[in-house]
Amino acid sequence: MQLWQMVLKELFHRKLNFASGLISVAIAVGCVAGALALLAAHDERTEAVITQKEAETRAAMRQMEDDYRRIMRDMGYNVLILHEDQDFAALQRAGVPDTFLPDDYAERLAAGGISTLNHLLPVLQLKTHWDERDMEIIVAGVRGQVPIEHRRRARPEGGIGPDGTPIMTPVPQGTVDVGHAIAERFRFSEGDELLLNGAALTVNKVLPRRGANEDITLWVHLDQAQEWFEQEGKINGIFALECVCHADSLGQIVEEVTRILPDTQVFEFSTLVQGRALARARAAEAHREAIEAERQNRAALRREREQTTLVLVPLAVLGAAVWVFLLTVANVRERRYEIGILRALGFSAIKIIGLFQLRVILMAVIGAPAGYVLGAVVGASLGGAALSGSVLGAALHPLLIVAAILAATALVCVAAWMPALRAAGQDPAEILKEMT
Amino acid sequence: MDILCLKKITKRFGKEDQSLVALDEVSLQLPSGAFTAIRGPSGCGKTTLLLTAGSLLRPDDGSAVVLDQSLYAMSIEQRAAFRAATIGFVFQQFHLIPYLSVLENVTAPLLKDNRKAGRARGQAMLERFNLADHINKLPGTLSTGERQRVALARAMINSPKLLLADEPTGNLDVENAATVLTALADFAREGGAVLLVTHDAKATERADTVMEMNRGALL
Ligand SMILES: Nc1ncnc2c1ncn2[C@@H]1O[C@H](COP(=O)(O)OP(=O)(O)OP(=O)(O)O)[C@@H](O)[C@H]1O
Ligand SMILES: [Mg+2]
Repeated sequence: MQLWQMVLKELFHRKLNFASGLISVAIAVGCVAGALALLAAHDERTEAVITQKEAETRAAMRQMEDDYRRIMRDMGYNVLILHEDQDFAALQRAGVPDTFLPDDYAERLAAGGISTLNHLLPVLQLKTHWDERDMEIIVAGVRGQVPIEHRRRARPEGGIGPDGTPIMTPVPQGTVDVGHAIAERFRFSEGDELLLNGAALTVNKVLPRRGANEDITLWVHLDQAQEWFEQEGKINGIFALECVCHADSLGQIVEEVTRILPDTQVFEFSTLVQGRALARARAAEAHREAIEAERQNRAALRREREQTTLVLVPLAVLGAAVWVFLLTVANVRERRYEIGILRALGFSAIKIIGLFQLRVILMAVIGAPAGYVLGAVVGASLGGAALSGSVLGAALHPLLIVAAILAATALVCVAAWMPALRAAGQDPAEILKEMT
Repeated sequence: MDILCLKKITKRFGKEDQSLVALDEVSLQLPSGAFTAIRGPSGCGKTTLLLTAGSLLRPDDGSAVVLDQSLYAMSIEQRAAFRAATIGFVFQQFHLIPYLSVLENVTAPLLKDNRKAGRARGQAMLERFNLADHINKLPGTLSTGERQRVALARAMINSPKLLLADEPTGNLDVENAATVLTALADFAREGGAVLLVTHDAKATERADTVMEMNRGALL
């Protein structure tokens, strides 16, 4: 009869003692595994919540930027780059600049890596009397917006990015884009013919109402305007649209533009833009604060869980150790005569110790994995992790389960050591005398 | 060579000044084939003598030798191993292990864990005591006589040389007592030595030698 067979038989004989020891080990191991899984699940959940929030914020901010960009584009250009000698009063009086710039300045600006402006439109605008229709108008020559290559590349995924749909498309030679007020007055529509400075031009497009000088402007090809006004190779301004990326941008725009084109100045004609940018910055800040609040909320919850764990886990482990100790004491007491007779039959002390240690080791070997798995599942689900998720997968790693079994075995061996030793140390003569 | 040789064994209990002398210079020799009974009133020291001869109770004085081996010169664990191989015990209370079957109780003291051989030995031993039908029963389901026979089988499983029996018939009816005493006599005839202690006069009839004991001294 081998020792372990005796141990097994005894377990079945005293099921209650064994089962309650096993359960106490399972609870202790379950508490440890549950606590670890709970905290791991908590961290994973936190990560997921924050990541989700950040993604939402990014999406909201992008949406906002896109809306904002679209609105700004619809409002038209809001920055005008002029020669540094241009007098503002004169500009206000005349409605058009009276100083000139080389017509490659917009290209230079684009090539210079401008980042605060979009939609660069070099223009030559002059006030003139439209003889054919007897009306004071502005004639503007444009070649189309200057592409900003480095910016186009920076945003390859499309959407309304910088330099997206142009505000002002090129006006082909022999055609004219008609400002809204003029078109309304003379009932021009696309395809109509009109005479300007003796030239016959086809209406390419009627522009939407802007409520500004653009509405009384006829837009022609830049070459045409330069020829009419004898300003070959010249423009007198570059229209642009402020980039949406900066809240306080005018200073930056001025700095950037004058760095690339030192003999220019920047005129901004909408402060609404700045208000919008500010609102956007505030919204971004609010999002950041919400995320931070969530983070702190989660951190507080984690601390709370940690503290509960810190109390519960040692209590469960200590409780299991004490319980296994008491169960072994009771078992030793109950088996006093058995020990006496086995000693008289020549059982060694090691074998007697083995009888008691093996039974608690069995408690650990069965109770620990059961408790571990159960604890991990409960902990993970309390922490909000999916039962098929990685947290439970990591918690149920075979090595961890083996470690739990080893730790539980060590615990019960220590707990049962003293009573088992006492059992082996009992004087068989004493016991046998009681028996006779 | 004697199987058991006790010389001037003295055992005292209690403190020096008011100590009780349970064994008073007891000398005893049991050669192979001896079936010796010791008789005496309650408290005269019979069990004490048996435990001392059985290597379980160290005497204060004298020498206890079994098969040329001085019992108390050995360490506790050496004595345990020696007991397992050499000495069998039978008690009034049988103290079978309640969760082991009859066969398992009998084979529990087996030294070498050769299961098949052990089972065969246990079965043969049980057959010898007419217990073949009870091999797989738990001790709790057996009668008193059957239980004492199981205890006897257990005491003999390792083929000891010395059998120490303390009132083995105390709880038994006449028929069962006779069976047990016959087994002891057979054991002696086969070359062992039996030391039977009892205060029952009837139990001593089967012994070759009967000794009286009184107040710790053999008369
Ligand atoms: N551990 C002990 N401590 C003190 N006194 C003891 C101890 N063991 C035995 N005695 C005493 O020693 C004496 C002999 O006891 P023992 O048990 O050997 O008697 P016995 O002859 O077996 O009696 P019985 O027939 O009743 O079994 C008794 O007086 C007993 O009280
Ligand atoms: Mg006695």
